[in-house]
Amino acid sequence: MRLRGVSKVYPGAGSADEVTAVDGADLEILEGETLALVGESGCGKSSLLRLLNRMEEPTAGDLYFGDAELSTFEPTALRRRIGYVQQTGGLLPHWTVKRNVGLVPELLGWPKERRLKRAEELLRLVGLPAATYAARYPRELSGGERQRVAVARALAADPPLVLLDEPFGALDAITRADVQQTFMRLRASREQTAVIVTHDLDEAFLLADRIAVMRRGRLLQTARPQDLIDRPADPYVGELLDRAAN
Amino acid sequence: MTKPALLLLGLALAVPLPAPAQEGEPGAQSPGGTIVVGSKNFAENRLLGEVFAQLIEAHTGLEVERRLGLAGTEFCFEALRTGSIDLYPEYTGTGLVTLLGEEPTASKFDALATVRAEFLRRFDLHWLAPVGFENSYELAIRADLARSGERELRTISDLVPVAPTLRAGFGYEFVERGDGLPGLADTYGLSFANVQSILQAPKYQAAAAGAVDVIDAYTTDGRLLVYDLLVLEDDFGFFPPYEAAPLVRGDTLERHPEVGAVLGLLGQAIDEDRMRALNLRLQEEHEPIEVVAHDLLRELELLPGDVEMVAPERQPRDSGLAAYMWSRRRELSTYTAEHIGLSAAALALGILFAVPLALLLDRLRTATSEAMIRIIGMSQTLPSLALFGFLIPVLGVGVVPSVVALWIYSIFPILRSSCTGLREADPDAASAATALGMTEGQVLRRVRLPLAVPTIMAGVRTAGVITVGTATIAAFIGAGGLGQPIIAGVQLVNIQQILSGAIPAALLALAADAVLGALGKWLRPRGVGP
Ligand SMILES: Nc1ncnc2c1ncn2[C@@H]1O[C@H](COP(=O)(O)OP(=O)(O)O)[C@@H](O)[C@H]1O
Ligand SMILES: [Mg+2]
Repeated sequence: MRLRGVSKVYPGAGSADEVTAVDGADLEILEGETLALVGESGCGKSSLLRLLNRMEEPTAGDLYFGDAELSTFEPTALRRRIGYVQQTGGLLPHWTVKRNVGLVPELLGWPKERRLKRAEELLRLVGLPAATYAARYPRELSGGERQRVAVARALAADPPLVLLDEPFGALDAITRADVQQTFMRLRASREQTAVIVTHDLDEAFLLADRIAVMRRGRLLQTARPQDLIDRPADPYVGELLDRAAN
Repeated sequence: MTKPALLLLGLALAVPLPAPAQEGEPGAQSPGGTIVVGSKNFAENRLLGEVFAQLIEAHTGLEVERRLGLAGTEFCFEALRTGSIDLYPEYTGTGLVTLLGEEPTASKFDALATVRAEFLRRFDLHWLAPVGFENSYELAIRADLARSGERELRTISDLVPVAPTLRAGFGYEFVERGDGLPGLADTYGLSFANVQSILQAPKYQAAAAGAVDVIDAYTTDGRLLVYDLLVLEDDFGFFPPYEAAPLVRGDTLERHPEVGAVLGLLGQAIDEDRMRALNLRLQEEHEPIEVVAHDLLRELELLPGDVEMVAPERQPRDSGLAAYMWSRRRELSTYTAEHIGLSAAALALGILFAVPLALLLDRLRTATSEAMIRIIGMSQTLPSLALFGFLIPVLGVGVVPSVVALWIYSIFPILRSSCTGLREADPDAASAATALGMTEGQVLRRVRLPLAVPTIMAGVRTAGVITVGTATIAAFIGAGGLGQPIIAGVQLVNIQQILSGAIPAALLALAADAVLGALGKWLRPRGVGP
């Protein structure tokens, strides 16, 4: 996926001024990589991520998925091919765990048998044995378990691209480390491309092949972790690294 | 069957519930021979309505449907004009002054001649032969005040100098009408220390308790016989004489000329003394209206020998409430069934209207939706009588306008809770579902609507309790229900009668709350809520 000069401006509501959330972003997401999007809260990470699955439309610039312009894809069909995990999980509270995990396959019209098998397999992969968890409702899960289910749901239909918006941000440190380990195990066995938003640089270093640093809507630098440390392109990047080191 | 399907089935079944009560409803349209008799909501007028009804039943093959106790002159007249009743007892003076808007006249012959000609010309309505008595307003003063020390009051003129020290309790219509207080005050130069508007019946008790000094009364009011009141002579002849007579639609007489002939039997049959005695039986003895009407027709020898009345059990005067309610169980169960039918129909229609409307407003999601909700919210504050005022010219009286009125009251709580429910039901889940590829319709059907169910049902529950509580207003326009004994009881100051309607109505409201609460629980999706 490629972005060229992409901007997103939210119109001001009422007396509020308009907000430029993404400002002329150029970015190439390489096939199979894990790209981390870091920056402080409000810098436009989520907005950028949501441009990728057409949850938002760009105000300016071009996006390409493969060779085709993103805007030529029908949004719902596109989204079914892109996994998505949001910060709060966004599980459907009135659906059981297995139905939540099988959501995209259900939308794609998979037969029930196959859906269930797939859900069980994924639940096992994220460390939640189906026998215990499949029939539960989201409110019967802990925060960490919920995020595991959300990750399993995003991967259920084997999408070529997965978007994760601060998936572990709301978890306590110990649980987070645990879920991060699971996520890494999952990533290791797959060819999927992933974009993960985080405000936690340590997490970015742990999980990502490349890191894109954002500030006030602008992409300051996109590079491998080591290059970021060796050759920060902007004083802010250095500052950020110093802060993370402490 | 799924829960939503079951629910829809239930709603569909609820709507036609009150249909039986509706049979032959607009009398003007039932060729099979149904006559709908109306009356106003005070004892004498109800009694005359019942007398008309029994007389027609006894002498013709026609079915009679009763819409007695309609809330006031305007409602009766509109119902008659629009054909939802065929006839009701009216007074010539009221016809002249209130309905035609003409000056009062001192001659009862002039009054009758004018209303006959004008009603025929303007509305095709016929004044049949007056039943005999004249009824007029009177002023009555507490006897102890009329004769105290030097003072002895006999006429309204005598009252004028002392009036500024006296408190008046007058009926609502009397205070407003040109042929009531305003004209009277002009004619005599009369002004009181203060004037309170009180219902007809409690006025007498207020006077007896010393809370007011002067009241207005009808000539034929039976209570003038028992309360310690002195009727003041209208020495200037201000109050016009009102003769009671059946007022009938022209097309009814055309289709059923026998109705005119039969009601003619009552011509000049009831004089003031007799009417006062009959009123007393209703007002003070609390006898059932059917019995008093039947007795009257017997005395007048207007019933064929074979007409036996299915008499309601007579009630010893001072027995308890339970015994009273037991003796009226047949009527009360009818009222209760009507009450449930009206409420269920209105609530079902409310749901069928408000929930789809909420979905529509949710789709529009603009400032207009907010404005629309607010406008519908204002319907909630419309007083029921005002609402009926709008509905009667269009829908007449009876079941249909009652259900419509209750339906209007039920919309807002359901609409508001549905909009809130749709807007606030787990926005995270809805946005995640969209981001994973659900269409807008799928998000609505599979996520937002199910998650909004608890909130929607809370609104339905509120609406249900409101509807059951408000359904008593149906009695104002002749649709029955538990408001029937309450309103009649208020007019007759019959506490037992009031309670016989009020207690079941309160129990029904509690039951509605419980049933709808349980329904909400049953419909709530698993995994949501407490
Ligand atoms: N739907 C929206 N409407 C208006 N402003 C928005 C909207 N979403 C985000 N913003 C604004 O855009 C800016 C970037 O937000 P976001 O992309 O959520 O940042 P981040 O995810 O990095 O915290 C913020 O100032 C935010 O207030
Ligand atoms: Mg964010």
